[in-house]
Amino acid sequence: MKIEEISKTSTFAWNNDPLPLLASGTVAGAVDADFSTSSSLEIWDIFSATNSKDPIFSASVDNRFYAIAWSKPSEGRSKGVLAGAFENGTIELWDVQELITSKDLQKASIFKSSAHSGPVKTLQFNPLQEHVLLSGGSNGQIFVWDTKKLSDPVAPGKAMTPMDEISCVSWNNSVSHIFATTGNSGYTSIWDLKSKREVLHLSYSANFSCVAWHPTQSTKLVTATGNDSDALILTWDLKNANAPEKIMRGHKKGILSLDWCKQDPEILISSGKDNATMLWNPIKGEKLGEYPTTANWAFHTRFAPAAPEIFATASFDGKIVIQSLQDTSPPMTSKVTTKNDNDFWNEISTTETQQPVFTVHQAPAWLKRTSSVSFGFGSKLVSISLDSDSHSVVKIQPFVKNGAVSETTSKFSQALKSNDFKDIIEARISDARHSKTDKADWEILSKLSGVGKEGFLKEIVSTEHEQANGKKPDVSSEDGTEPSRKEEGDNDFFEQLGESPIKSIPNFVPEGKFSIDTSDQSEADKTIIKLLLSNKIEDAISACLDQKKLSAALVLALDASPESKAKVRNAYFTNTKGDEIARLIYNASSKNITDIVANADVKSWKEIAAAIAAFSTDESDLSSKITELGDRIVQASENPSTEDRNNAMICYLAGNALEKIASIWLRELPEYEKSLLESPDDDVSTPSDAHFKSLNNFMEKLLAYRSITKANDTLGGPSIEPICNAILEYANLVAGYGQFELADSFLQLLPSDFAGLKTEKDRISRASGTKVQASNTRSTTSKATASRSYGKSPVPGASVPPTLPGNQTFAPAASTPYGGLAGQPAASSVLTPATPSFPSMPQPPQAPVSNRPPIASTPSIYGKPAPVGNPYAPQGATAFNPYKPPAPVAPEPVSAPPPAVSGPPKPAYRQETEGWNDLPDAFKQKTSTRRAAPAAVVSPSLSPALPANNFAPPKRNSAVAGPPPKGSRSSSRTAVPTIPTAASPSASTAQLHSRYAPPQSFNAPTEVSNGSGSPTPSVHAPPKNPYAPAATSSTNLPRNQYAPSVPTPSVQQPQTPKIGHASATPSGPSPNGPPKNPYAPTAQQVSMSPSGMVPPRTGSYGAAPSGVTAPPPPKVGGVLPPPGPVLTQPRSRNASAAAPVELTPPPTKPKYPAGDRSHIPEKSIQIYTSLDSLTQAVKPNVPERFIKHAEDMEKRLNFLYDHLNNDDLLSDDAIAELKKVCSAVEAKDYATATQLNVDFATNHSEQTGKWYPGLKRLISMAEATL
Amino acid sequence: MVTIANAHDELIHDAVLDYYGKRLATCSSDKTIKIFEVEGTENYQLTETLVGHEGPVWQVAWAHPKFGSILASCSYDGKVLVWKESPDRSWSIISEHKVHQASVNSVSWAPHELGAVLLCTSSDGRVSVVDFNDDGTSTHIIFEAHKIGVNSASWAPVDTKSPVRRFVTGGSDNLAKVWSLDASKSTYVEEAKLEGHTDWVRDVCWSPSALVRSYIATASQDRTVLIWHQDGEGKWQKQKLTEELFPDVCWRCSWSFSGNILAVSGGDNKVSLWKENLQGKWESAGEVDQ
Repeated sequence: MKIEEISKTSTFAWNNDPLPLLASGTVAGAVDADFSTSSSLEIWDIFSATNSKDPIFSASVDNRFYAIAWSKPSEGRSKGVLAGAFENGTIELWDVQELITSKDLQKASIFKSSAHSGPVKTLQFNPLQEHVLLSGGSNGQIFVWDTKKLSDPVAPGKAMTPMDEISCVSWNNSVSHIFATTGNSGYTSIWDLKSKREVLHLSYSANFSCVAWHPTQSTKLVTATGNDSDALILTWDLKNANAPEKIMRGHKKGILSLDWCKQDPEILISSGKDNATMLWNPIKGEKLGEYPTTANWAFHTRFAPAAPEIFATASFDGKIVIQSLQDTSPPMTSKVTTKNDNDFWNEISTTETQQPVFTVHQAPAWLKRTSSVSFGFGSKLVSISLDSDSHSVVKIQPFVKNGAVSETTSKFSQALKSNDFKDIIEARISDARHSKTDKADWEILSKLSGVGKEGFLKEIVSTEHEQANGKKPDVSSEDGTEPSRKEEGDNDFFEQLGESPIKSIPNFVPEGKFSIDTSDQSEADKTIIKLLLSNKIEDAISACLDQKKLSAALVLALDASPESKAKVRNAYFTNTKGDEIARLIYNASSKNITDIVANADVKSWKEIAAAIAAFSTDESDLSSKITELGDRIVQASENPSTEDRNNAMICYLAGNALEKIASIWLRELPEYEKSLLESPDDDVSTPSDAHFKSLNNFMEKLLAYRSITKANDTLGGPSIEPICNAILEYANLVAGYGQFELADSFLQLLPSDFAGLKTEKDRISRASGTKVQASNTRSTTSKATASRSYGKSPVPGASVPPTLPGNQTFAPAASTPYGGLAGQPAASSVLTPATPSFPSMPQPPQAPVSNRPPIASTPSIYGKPAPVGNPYAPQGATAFNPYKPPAPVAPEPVSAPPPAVSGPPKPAYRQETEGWNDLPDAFKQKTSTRRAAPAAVVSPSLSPALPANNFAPPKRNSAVAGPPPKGSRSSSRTAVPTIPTAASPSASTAQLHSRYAPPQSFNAPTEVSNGSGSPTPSVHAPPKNPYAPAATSSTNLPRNQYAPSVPTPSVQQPQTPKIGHASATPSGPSPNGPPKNPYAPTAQQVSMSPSGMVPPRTGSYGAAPSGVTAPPPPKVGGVLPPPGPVLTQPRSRNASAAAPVELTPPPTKPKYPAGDRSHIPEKSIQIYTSLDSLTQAVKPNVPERFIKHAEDMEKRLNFLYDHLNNDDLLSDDAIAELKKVCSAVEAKDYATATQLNVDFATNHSEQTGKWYPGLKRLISMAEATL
Repeated sequence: MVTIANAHDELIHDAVLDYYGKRLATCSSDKTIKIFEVEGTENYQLTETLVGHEGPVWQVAWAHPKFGSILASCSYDGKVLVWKESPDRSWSIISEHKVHQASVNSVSWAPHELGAVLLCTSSDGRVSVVDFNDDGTSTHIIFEAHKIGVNSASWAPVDTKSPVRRFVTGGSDNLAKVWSLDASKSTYVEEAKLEGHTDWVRDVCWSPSALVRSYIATASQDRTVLIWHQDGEGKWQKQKLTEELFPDVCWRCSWSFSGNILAVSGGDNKVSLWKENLQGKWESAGEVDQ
């Protein structure tokens, strides 16, 4: 890449700066257009920030240069020494610093010599001894100069070969007293300054023009020939100087200049009379590239010694071109030519029209990093180093900083597990030497944990009395369990005003005589007496008040009307304004201590606290008041003292104001951290230790408090964010140390919608390799867990295979940012980045499918899993793969005529396929059935039904559920009704479809047509072959999976099951076949199973083994779910036509997100708690190879919970029955449980769903393991 | 310890774990990138070899998973490729960024709060910042940062309240420079020049935690590592990691996640660990077993 160009016909030298300067001197042997003989010396700062186009130094000199050399900086020569070799034989040295600052050539000149008798052609400073300069010139003269002594030069000794003009000299890079020279005599001579002689010479058929040493190996060098006829670069090893090692051809004419890169032996640059500048790998003997040619001989080329990325080439066309080694820019044509100076890269001179020709694969050594290190999540350190063979080895090792952290966290972890913080509290009390407040906190916590919350408040109050009254509080003798509010009882004021009798004063009994004579009374008294005697109490009270006889009025009012009482009370308070006691009386009598809390002097906070305790009506009132008190304590002064703060803390603790407490703690964190830093401690050796420890302390306090107060909900509240952030940070830190479990337990505290929580959880669960369990008892948190995320997909269907997670995380969101790039369906972009992919994906496929609503839903389920790995969706999955748009499907509406069969479609639910859900032999005896299953593939009835159920439950699926279908959908519905009659056959097919969607469905239809009819009409759909191909595979799969399940959905009727199997077997073969031919025989399978019920089928199936199916139980008719599905098929056709429309309908979502357990109504909560605890009990006992079954079971049960949470599936009756099942299982009465469960399916088949197999499995697993 | 040997035909230049610490991406002079699943403490499995670069691949970087399973790589061929894993686990190139005229020496994704933003540094002396937009397009700003070449860059941790684009670059001009985005002009402004090294700055690394004091570590060809922090007046002050010279070139430096440990890898084939003591000095925290 061209960087700069200097318009001078000059030779040049770089200095050793990383941003090198370049000195140029007008070269001898060339004449300008005007025949001027002037000569100049310039210094250029090409890489300066200002990027001036002008030299930083320029001066005229008397003669022209053959060579320039620039030494490294040396003592007293901060910018080194510049040496010039002139055509007149002079050598002159300048101090560059002086040149640049004084701009005075003469002043900067250090030395000048005419030792050479003819032109001096070449110069080089010794790379190891900066002050030693070597020069060569005509007449075989070679001199060694010492720029320190500045004395006359010395000759290197005696030559063995004839010397004529020396054209190039080169110091050995490793041995400072060895150098090489070459000249037109035909030899390259190696000299040893120590022995003062030429020790060796190389010769070749051509004349040498230049020589350069290997950057590190002392015996290797490279020479070039100047012959136009045979322009070669030769590499030599002096260990055998007889012949070159490598010969590199490429230049078309004689080579004039060579430079072997000091930093990379595999890079060498050359230029010559062919105007070319070329890059070589002299070790391998390869040409690497060629730079744009100049318009005339390129006579000098050099790397910048300290910036080998850069080199310059001088040519006789009047330019020095500075360029970088590499240029990856696009071909010239796409470059914009500009004259803008700032854009000089784009400035392409007309003479250099070509781009460098390059093989970029060989990168220079200085870019090849040989070692590296990086940290990874979970306390991992990745490093790269070289092994003994110089091969890279990557190592990932655990990285544990120090023991302190893990010790701290392990204690914490234990406490959390056992929910017992006593040890920690004790440890901290004795250990909290860093901060008084901290110690106080722990003491408070200790007290709190000792006496419990109730007792704690009591204690505050009681100590208050002690101090206030200076006597032993009576309370201490009280029964500790007595509610604290009673304790304050000893406040006399309150008692006197209250209802309680005055203990110490005996009842008043009037004694003796008295007079009512009013003569000596005042008028006012007379009035009162009169009123009293006439029993006009109310008036008497008024009179007393008028007379300021408050006490008399009060006594009177005791028996008077409430109004009067109020009046007197008002009068009393009005008259006693400013009197504290009166104020308290006011508050006490009104039973409202808001005034006290808000206005009383907080110095008496304990008294206030006591009052709060005494007067609060309930827990929340108490909490809010005492918290308010805490606020007041804090706000009372601008700089609350430690005591204030501790007092406030007590109030907050008593008031359960975790937010406030935590925010105080958080505020103090930096201080605490600082105190840790200031006091030496074994655990704290770095600032970050202190940070960690202070956070740890905060977390310990927080969790200790929660543990003591038995709080186990997630945090919440408006000002919770800083606390959550702290928790998140801590969890992050802990996770960073590899303590995933601990970290996860902290994350449980956070509200599930807290920003960043999901990511963090996800990360921890993935990093630790443990799946976050969906069953997590903390419902709120569970939402956040990775597994839960699936729940959001439109289909609640649990079926998502556990294996997926991996993909998910990566796959999903990804699409968004980059949009289409990924090659994924655009649909994905819809998703928000964070969301797990599921939801989005499914959609595309659905559309096509749309025919049947149920189907739509299904795809989503399987869609995701796409990854082959999915155990449950094996083949089918592939077929359905959401990413491969099932384009074909959508197409046409087959046979439109959906017989509007009937009304309301029935819920598909019923089916229960046991098939793939079935427990392995280990758990159950069913083996035989299982076996059959595979073969049975076909067994249409069962399998289909099941799937349908799973996916199609009306309520859930948006698409499916679609409430009563309108328009397009209608068709589908219509189908439903059919159920009773023909339904069965079709149903099965339908179901299949639904699951796998598009492809398969069609087989079924075909058959239908065969069949007689009733159901069939719709069925015919088959025309749509489009689906066919896919169908085959898919169909088979489905069946297999479900086939095994003997029990089949139809549970109720024994017969059906059999049928199913029977049919299955026969059909076996067909499955494959059918798919292809829509109408084909294959159909049989389809039809068979379901229905058994309808007569038509048999007919229809005729050919097919289906006959078997026959047994349509009457009951079924009503119950049968299959019909639902069936309908779908017909629709599908229709639908297909309509498809687009249908598809679109947005899925109705459950009221609450999947995973939410917080809205389970009272009536059904027992089901959840019971099943969930059973699940948890069972899981650990499940043999490893059945783990997947257990996971699936759990997933299915989660669907049930979702339903319960939304209260959208089970009727009250059903719930009652389920409860019975639960009870039976809990009682380990598995036989009953199983029976009840079967009954449930019988009685509420429409309410079973994908969850049902989960329950079934749970029962059998419980039986096997508990 | 997981040891992966003979994974590539030539030198391996970078190896990075993904966000979850479960997958390792390596890149090599053999022009390929390989992805390994790392299981437990012993096992690993090669799952993918990404071929697409025409020169040695210098660095790889995993994007935050919220953007998907995405990897960026840079190469001597002057290109930055962005790879994405699709749900069927196949990888493809979803973006090719080739505005640089020479080797691209580093790539790093911005903190995820800033979006899908990639920072690239090149031997052409320039730095480019590429924004990948939601609609699949990308836009970039490119500017001159260090003459002769930019070797590395590192993003500043983000203050979540006011996310600002800020990063440090290290170059062949022996300097490190701190840059921040001037949004009004859509340009990056040089905030500070960190002068102290006497040879190429090979690597720069900004400590990750915004809570503890923020540091920049710079590793250099001059066999030193400098630690920089801003004083009260916002000036960057430097401190030598150690007074002694390292035995060889310092190739890389990397902060641990909590920002308390600095790892330095050098041409001597060793990785050393460093921590700050309470006196504010940096002291050895051991060497990594090689």
